[in-house]
Amino acid sequence: MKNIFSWDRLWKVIPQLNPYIGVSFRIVLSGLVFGTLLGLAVAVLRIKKILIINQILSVYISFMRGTSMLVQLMIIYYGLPLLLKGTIGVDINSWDKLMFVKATFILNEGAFLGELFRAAIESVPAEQREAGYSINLTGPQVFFRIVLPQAVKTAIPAYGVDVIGMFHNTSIAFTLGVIDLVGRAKTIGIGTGHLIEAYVYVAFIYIIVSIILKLLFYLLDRKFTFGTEGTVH
Amino acid sequence: MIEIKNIKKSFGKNEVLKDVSLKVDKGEVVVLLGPSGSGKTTLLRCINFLEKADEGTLTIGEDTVELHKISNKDKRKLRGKTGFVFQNYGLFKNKTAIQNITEGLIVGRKIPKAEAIKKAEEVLEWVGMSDKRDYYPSKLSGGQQQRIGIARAVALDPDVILFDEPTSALDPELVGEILGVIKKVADKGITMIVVTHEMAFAQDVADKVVFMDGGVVVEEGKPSDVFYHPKEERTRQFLSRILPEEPDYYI
Repeated sequence: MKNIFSWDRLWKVIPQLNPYIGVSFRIVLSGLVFGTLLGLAVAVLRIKKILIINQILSVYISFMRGTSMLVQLMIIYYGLPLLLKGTIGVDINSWDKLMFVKATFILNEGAFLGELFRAAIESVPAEQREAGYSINLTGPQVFFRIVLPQAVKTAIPAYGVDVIGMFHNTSIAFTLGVIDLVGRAKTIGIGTGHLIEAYVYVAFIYIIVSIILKLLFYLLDRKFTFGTEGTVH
Repeated sequence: MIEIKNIKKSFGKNEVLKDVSLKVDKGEVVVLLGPSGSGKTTLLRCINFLEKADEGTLTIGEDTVELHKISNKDKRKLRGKTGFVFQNYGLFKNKTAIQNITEGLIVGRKIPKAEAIKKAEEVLEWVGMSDKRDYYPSKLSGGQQQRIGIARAVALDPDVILFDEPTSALDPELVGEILGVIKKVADKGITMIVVTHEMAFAQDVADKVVFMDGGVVVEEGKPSDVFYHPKEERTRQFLSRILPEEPDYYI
């Protein structure tokens, strides 16, 4: 029992773990960039309430929000190649497993962020739009110059939480055998019989990244105060 | 100069405007009066296409359009001739006081930036808000916000300014102050259509008072005629509740 944690082993695992931080980052980055774009598209289409598309999107969103990410990963990993081969004859079985992980993150984020953005856009009072029209702005000008900046301000805090959460979720990649930070910690633990040191380092990395992301979103939030700093909101 | 003909508007089964016509001459100040739900605000919003009328025509200057099948291009053309002052100010929350004014000048009217800023500063000065130039609306009181709202409409040099209950959201102490600013706008000779419940203001500033009820114009005429010699029973009922029993000067 006295041998449960040793600083020596901690220093030793650090270089073994470091190369895998990048894998986690790559997953988060594609989820962030493409998930945000997908989410914006979903939000705008949902607000426009186009028949059929709206129904399809609402099924997609309830599926993504109602099932666990692990289930989604399995369905995308095993189901998507079958679906694509059966319908359009494209074989994606040879794709890198990391691609399936990224696809899962993008589709999952698209649904969550889509609903987040939709709520934020709809929270901007109708009068803001009307005032824009009354000074003779066009529809797109009203959206991009008046509505969107205010919606962004509303969405920032929840968006920040979402991105940090995404970073914590990358460990599910291990179920496909894609080794990220957590996956590597697990294999080190199995190989050496000492789990704690690797996980301590993983926890340390997560905390650092979370703090950095929080700081970034805090600064972003400050930029979008529109004079409300210091007031309760 | 502005003519609205046979305008009709329903929200579902609720017929809000039943065939309303209204003519406003250049430089005239018209006050729309009437109980809640009489269609005053809807009429005003239809003129600015914030609400789409089911029927009717609108003429501003030389341009005449049919309200129910207006193109986006015509909408913008006619909106370019109007300004709108909102009940809840409607200032852009993501823009400062001066940006609220320049936005319409630079983006809407395509005026060069330097010129727009100069113009906006003049108008800010005119409504007494120069010192709040770079404040966001969240840092301004209701009365200050409404001054900017009025400045935003005036800066665009519209042919007509539409006021939708501009003082209803203000606390009583500030109402007089804002009415003073609106009177200044009227004194400039700008054509105005004002929806308000401020009778003293209507009497003082309006050239014409239009009394609406149940989606129709019940009576219109000079304030002194409509207020003290109403022809219609409905007008009398309404006024008896808001006007003092007898004018002060009867002694």
